[in-house]
Amino acid sequence: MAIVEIKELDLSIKKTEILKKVSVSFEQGKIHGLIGRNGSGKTMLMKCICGFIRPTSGTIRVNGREVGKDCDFPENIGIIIETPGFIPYYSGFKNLKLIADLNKKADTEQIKRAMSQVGLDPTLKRHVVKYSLGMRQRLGLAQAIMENPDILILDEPMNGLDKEGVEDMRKYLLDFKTQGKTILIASHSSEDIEVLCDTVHEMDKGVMTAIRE
Amino acid sequence: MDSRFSVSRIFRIMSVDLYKWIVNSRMVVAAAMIVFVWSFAIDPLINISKEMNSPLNFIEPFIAVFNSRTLCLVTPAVYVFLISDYPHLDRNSLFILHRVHKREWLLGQFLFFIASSFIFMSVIFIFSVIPNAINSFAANGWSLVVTRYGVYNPDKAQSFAANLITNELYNQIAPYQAAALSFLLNWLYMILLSTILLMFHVLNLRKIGVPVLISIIAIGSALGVFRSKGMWYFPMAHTMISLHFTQYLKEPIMKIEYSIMYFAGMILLILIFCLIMIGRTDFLNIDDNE
Repeated sequence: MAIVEIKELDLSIKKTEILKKVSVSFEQGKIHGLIGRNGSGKTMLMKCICGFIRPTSGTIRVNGREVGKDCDFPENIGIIIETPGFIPYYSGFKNLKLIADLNKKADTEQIKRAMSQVGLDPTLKRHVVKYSLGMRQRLGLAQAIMENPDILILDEPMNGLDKEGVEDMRKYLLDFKTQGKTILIASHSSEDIEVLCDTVHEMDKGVMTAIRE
Repeated sequence: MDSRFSVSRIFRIMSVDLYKWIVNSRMVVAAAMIVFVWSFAIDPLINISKEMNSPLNFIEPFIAVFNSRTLCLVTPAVYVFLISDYPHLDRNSLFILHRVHKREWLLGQFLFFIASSFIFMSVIFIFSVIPNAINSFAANGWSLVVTRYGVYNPDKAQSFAANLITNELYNQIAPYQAAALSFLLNWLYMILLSTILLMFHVLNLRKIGVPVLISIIAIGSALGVFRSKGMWYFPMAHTMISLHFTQYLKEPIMKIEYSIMYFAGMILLILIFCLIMIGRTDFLNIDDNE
């Protein structure tokens, strides 16, 4: 069953065509990879799916609901788009608590569990400004998973992670998939794509050029 | 995202942005503005008070700040500078955005503007009133310094300090009322300016928001200085109590109630327009603020 359905998606910004007639479906319970050069439209496609950008034409349905029409932003998704940003003078836990309090889907225990799952100590009082890039990336993932979403949309989630961090992240994502969840991941690393993805979608100059299982 | 509309989420969005605003390094400009206002409005008043050996009313420096035709340009311009990158969109905002409705986010931003402008006005109030409070009196009447300095010193009647609070003001309205109305009207002015900025973001025309605001402030101030009738089309004139009255006639040129209605009406209209248009807003420029 397709959990994300994109039909005839066009996106132009200031007369520049960013996405051209993109039509693709992402099935539930699989890890879908998005590959392509810088500027190929991967991040823009993800931002469109998340509802941050309105496409010029075409439709995006997530869980059967049209983004921008039935809902402003898709429900039950977790996201990391590029490097995650946090309030620098709060601890990691306090940052996540602040975000979780918005819709009260994750309580304190769930936040702590999410942090532990990605290898962060929830009791650490250190401010995020003193976190390494890898720690921030892990905190970004904890933010994405703490509310137990149906879909994870991850743009370059391995950025800044060391070898051990990459291994942990891969293990976690594969585990997440076994729970019937869907992951859409954009990465420059062909190894990540090979190890993780069930389907790989290649983009070039805003066009979906190839899909392979 | 919870499908129900939530007031508590709106307050949470506001509080996150307010925190980010307060700890922003550009707040140093607000400190510089306080020094500027002190040396151009408050210090001259204190000096002529010492010269006359007569106390000021404690509220008069605050009234002087918001009724001086020279300073009327400074305070709104500094506020616009402080909010110029708002609605603030950094990578942390992404995590907030997709957990709320666009309208909740919009109202959160509006609430942030109400709160930030109130804090801004309160800081000016505190720094203009407190430092000279012990040498002042607190009754609801104008000081001799304001009303008689020009009479006792005709050679200095046209000086900058002697004209900070003019007779259009002290002949027509008591100081407490003047201070309360100055606070209210200037607060509304700043809310209006920020709501206009919000509108340009909603229309995906973020880059022209600040230039438009600066133009509104500059043209409004210029028309106010020359007392042109066109000044009433711009918000600036509505904030200055002295422009509402003549020197002696009882009937005002512009009723204060109309000025309040002008601000309330404009703010409400723009906010409703934004609530209608927010569905079309892109959150594209997140990286611009990083």
